[in-house]
Amino acid sequence: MNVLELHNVHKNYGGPPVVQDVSLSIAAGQTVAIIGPNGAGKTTLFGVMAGEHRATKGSISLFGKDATRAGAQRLSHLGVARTFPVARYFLAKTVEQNLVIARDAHQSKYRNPVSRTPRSDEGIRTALRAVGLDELRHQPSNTLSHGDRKSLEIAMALTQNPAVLLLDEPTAGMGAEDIPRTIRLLKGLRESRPDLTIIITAHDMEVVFALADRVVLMANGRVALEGNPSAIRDDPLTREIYLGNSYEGDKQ
Amino acid sequence: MTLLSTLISGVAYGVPLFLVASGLTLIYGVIGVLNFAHGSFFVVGALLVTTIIGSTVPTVPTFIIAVLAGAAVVAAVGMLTETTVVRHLYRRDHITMLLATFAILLIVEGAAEGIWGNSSRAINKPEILSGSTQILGTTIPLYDILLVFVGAVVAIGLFLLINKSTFGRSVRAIAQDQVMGEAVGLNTKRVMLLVFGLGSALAGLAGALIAPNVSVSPSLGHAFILQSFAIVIIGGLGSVTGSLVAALLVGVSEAFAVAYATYLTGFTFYILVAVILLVRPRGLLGSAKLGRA
Amino acid sequence: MSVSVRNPAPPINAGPPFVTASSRSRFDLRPIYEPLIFLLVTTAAYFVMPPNMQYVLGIAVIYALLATSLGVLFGWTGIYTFGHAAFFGIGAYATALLKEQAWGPLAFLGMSALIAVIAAVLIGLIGQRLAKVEFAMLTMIVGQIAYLLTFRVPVLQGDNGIYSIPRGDVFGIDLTPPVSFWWYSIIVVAIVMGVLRRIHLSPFGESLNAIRDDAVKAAAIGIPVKSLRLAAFALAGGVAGLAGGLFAQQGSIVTPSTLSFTFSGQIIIMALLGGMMGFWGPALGAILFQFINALVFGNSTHGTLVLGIILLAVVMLFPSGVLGVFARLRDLLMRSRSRQ
Ligand SMILES: Nc1ncnc2c1ncn2[C@@H]1O[C@H](COP(=O)(O)OP(=O)(O)OP(=O)(O)O)[C@@H](O)[C@H]1O
Ligand SMILES: [Mg+2]
Repeated sequence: MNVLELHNVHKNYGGPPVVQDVSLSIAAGQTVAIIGPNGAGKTTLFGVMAGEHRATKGSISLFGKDATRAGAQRLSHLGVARTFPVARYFLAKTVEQNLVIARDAHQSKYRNPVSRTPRSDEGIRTALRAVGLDELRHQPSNTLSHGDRKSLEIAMALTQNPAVLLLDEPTAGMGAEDIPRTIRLLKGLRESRPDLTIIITAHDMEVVFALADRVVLMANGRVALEGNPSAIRDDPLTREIYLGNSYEGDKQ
Repeated sequence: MTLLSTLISGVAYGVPLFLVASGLTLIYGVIGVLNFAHGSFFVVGALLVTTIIGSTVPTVPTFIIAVLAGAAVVAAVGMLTETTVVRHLYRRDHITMLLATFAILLIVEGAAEGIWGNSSRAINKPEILSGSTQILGTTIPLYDILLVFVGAVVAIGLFLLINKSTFGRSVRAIAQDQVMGEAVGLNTKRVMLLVFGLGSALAGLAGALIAPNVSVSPSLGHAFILQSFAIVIIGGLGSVTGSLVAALLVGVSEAFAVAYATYLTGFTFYILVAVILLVRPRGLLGSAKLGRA
Repeated sequence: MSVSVRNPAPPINAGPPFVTASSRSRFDLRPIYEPLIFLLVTTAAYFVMPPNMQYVLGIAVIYALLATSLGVLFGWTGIYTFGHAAFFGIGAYATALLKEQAWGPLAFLGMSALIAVIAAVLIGLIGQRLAKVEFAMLTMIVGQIAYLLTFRVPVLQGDNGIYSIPRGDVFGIDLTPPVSFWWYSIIVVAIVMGVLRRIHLSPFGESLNAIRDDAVKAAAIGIPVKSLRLAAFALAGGVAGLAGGLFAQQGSIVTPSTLSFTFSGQIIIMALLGGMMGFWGPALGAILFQFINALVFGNSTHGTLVLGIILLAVVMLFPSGVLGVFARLRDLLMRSRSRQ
């Protein structure tokens, strides 16, 4: 059974399409990496899958049910958790408070406007330890390093016990010692939860090869290639797409 | 009343709305500032013309000079606002800017009350423009034709200015990406000042043109702020074309209500706004940025 | 396959059990003692003041509630509204129009709040899909429409306003004497402030802050952004309406100026003066504003011009209000102390 299916998804921001005709089927428990040069449309596709953006054309189904018009909040409660390319969280709060908010949102605690002060619990501490932020939990979150911010965002997602985890460049900005830890964390997650589906984007091929069962190569908003990691690496088209892009990059 | 005369009076009704709304949306589209004080600038334009013309029956040249003077003074007020207040707040958050322009609205309106008092003033049109003419067998006020003409000139002029001139090219570049604009060597500070002045001038022009048709008092702005804000919302914030379409729609539907469904008079506007907001919440033309309009 | 079949995650890296040590006590008493302090301080001040200042304070505490309701929008949720006077006015006119009813004063307040909530929900629904700035414009339009309606709808009596609104009696106590009305109004205000404080500290309040800080992220973690914004708008509208009802009972007259956009601006100034971000900022600002107004301008209804200048000065010089200035002073003190 496929957890997530995209059928001919298109998306534009009022101009030309940024994502075009993307169809994907992702089975439960798979780890899929979406790669491609800058501006290929990876983040936009994530936004569509997570309900932040509505597909201009095409349809999406989650667990076999139509979710094309579900919206971010609904999808979150259906088990889709996501992170952003530049980590987004609540700057005015401490690390732990951010996790409390994520947990409370997931458990719909906001429905009770006169309940007690939200508190930390074991799930939150576990998530903090998993990403290595346990010691920093009372820090104001705006003092974190770039890599720790990414970790914080992953920890927020973990408190929500997701079925589908969308990680947009999870290791961008992390230090040399944090990247292996994050890879280990994600590997550990997959072992402890065989049905967890992970979709990541990454420019760092080390991460892709360490984790992905399957790689989707995007270029100009379309899926250019799809297959197992080594097949994608060895395909001449991959070289061409990346080189073509770096060539244009030189010109600018 | 025939279809034609209804149509023309509707368009004439829509023109001042278009002028006010296009100035507002131009400033927003380029600078990203919603100028709450825009409606009060409009009133200043109208009040200035009443002062210049007084109780005389102006000749056509006097009238034209009065109208242009109104627009120019308001442009100056706008540019003063930009340099003294708005410019210093670009780096602050959204809300600070909204509050500051709201404060300017209170200041300008308060100052207008202080200068002109609360009483209403009426002025005469130039003799030639107060008559009417026959077109295809229907009577049409000449002043309406003037308004339609001015509206067309401004619409075409704005289109050419934004899309064809070098100034327009920098304006579009800055609307797209201010940092990039600066990086490629545009004088963003000056362009933004000029846009603020131009937008304000449009408000002043509208006020000056409407002065002979209504009784002018400092509270005239209230009704106009209301309508022009609504036009900007339904036309799509940042889209000049959108405000043209929306202003004409409002003007024409109001004129048709006056002619054919009197019980709807004064309400068509609210109905239109409510319906459009419910059906197309991002406005008629989306929130198209100026560069793509 | 349905979603609920998902397995719960086994703990990641199950570590040793630990004791949850939260820095806060289990029962947060702030919603109780803070309004109590507010009540005691204002009441103490009330009884040492000369009658003309008592009158100012009587209005100031009602405005404190009103400004706090604006804080719910600007400060807690990040909703910008420029027509908040409309809800205050709707509440005031509701009490005024129902004056013939043989109800107790509290029932009037309930009706005022209810009608304002209904109006807020309707406006919130129409504006639900608008972006922030467009919504700000819509609130101003609505405020203007409400103001103009007082002149168009005959029962609202236009500029004359509605007179002789009775104060009635509560639990057998006649509210006509100023002192009894003081107790009545300060108790109502303190209770509502307490409820608001409780809401502010609840997960609901936290969610509103989250929406204010990053609405996209808030939606991504499952916070229902649209409905909570609507709820906040309704809450703020209702409290403003209640304050309006109280105001009508206090002055026994309601005029269109309670709905004017100058008054909307004044509410913003009050809240901003104290500081929008802290819970007590707007209330403090409202009281300060009323006294500055009374002492400096001799309580004459000062012009729009002066209001505009004050607002501009606060926005440009002290954007985080009196509370912000306090916080900055405290920071400075701490820093100079740690340097020694
Ligand atoms: N909010 C937006 N409005 C308009 N255009 C956008 C927006 N977000 C992205 N784009 C454009 O859409 C295209 C795809 O962007 P996207 O961020 O999805 O690419 P990406 O593959 O994630 O790139 P990167 O590897 O740099 O993260 C780019 O051309 C970008 O400029
Ligand atoms: Mg990206």
